[in-house]
Amino acid sequence: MKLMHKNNHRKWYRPAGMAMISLAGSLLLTGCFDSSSQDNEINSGIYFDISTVDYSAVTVDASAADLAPGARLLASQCAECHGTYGVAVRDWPDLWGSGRQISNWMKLYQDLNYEDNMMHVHALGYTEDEVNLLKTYYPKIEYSGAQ
Amino acid sequence: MRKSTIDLEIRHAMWSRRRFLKTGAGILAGMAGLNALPIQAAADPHKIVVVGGGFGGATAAKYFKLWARESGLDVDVTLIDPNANYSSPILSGMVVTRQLEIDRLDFSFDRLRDVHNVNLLQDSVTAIDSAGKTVTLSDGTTTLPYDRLILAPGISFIDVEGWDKDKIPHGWSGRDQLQLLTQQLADFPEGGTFVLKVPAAPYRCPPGPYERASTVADYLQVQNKNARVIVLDAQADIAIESETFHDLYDEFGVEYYGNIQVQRVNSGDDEGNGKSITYVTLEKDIDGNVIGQSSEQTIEADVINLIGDHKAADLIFEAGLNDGNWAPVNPLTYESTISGKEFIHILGDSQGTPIVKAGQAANNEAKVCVDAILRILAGETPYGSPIVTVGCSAPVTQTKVNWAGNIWRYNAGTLQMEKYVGKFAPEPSEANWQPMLQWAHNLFADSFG
Repeated sequence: MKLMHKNNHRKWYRPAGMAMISLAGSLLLTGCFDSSSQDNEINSGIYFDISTVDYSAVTVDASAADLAPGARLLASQCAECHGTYGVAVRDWPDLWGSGRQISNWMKLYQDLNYEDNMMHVHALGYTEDEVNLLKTYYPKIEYSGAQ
Repeated sequence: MRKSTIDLEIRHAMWSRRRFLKTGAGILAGMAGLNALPIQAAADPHKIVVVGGGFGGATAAKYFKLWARESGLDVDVTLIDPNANYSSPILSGMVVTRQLEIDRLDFSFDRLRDVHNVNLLQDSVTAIDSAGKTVTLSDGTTTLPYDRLILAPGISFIDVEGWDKDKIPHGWSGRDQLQLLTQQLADFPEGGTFVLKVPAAPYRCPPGPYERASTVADYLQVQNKNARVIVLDAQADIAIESETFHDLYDEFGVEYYGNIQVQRVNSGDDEGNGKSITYVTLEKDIDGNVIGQSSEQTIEADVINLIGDHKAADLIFEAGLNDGNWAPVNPLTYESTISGKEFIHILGDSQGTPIVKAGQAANNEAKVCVDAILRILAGETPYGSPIVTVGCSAPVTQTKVNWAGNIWRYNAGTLQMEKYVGKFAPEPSEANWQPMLQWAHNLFADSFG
């Protein structure tokens, strides 16, 4: 499974390169530029590999289906920054398997000392009932994949 | 309660029955009793067609598959997009300032297909038959049936007289446009003039137009271009973080003008010469009503970044899903509220709630929509108090990053989403740079990975 992901990762860049060649061709018509030279001068070292989460290693306990409405949905909104099912990428805090810690964190981040932290906004935005729903969901998730 | 197979079949039958009863034949079948219902429907997967593979569409396709499996539902999901990859506007400011390779923001749909079993169709939808519940593809004859149709087609631009987008880029949507603007700025002449037109709100972000202006001004200064940089804003004044951006504009010598209405542009010749933008300055009263305007003024420029005023994508208008420039939806499900357009849901930039037109918002709306539809398919009701959370970051210079966090909450009284919490970073900072990359990476992975 992980090998397949690696292959996908390599494949990911191929169509982009192809598109670039065809784009360069079409832009020659408008007398603009050779686009392929552009990126060669940049070496950002920044990559966004989206294939690191192994979904075959994610387990959602069957009892998650019985949670109150809103638990799954509210938890998925954390995933925008903390990864699908709370399995984060790029050395960012995971949420899968978390229970009580979530309400601890959310209380902590309400403190004004954290006002320069994005989590301050989210900690203020969730009601206590909503935080309790998050606490019911994330303990249902297990992840056994490499990170 | 565990969802046994028998329970599921009953749910499917109930759902099929409700649909069936909406038709004339269904009413007769309903009168004849349950035995007359099409039993085979229980075994058929629910057909979900998603149009548009941006943050909203890709997230919807992925989460339909993830959550249907958990709910014991069978959904067949097809994602239709004219491109093989999605070029992310998020972080595109770093491409414009040559700090990031454009390829790094291309996300293919392969993972949706290979890992999540979404069907991919590289094509365009040209028509929607909301009564027959089919979409027509670009050949004009091939149709695809749906039980639920999810539209996440992004934005289009209100036209400006003389605007040839191949010469005057918006750089606001799609890889080709981003590349064109990047190249024009890379070729920027010494002592040249750059004009950026800020669209009227609501506009897509991040990056926002004010950030684009400050990052480009910084970039041209670092390149020693001795450039004249002019911002023409549709708003009376900078709409977000006014002080921060005025300070940045002062630092970089940016000329800023508010209440601008563009009359027309000259897109110039094939060599890129002869470009100009002609505008008037509107006079407004205290309520923002226009009470007069200046005489026309024209600026000749080497590069014009005309970020036109936004509206919903063309498909929304062609399908009769718009009310004004946007598509009205029920924020509990994102289903169209226009009569006769049931089972069509609109996500992201084209929908008309007050939620910001951000990729992260579209990702969030997709989850609300998918959760609601799966609950409906399971015979339940949608979650009644959804929130939408957004925490966007963007560079404001080549070294400093700003963020804005906002949360919208459903108001059961007004039936609308309303801003609940909103906050900006205390000041732009180098310290926000790595968190921005981490935020974006997780958002990319959650949406496309």
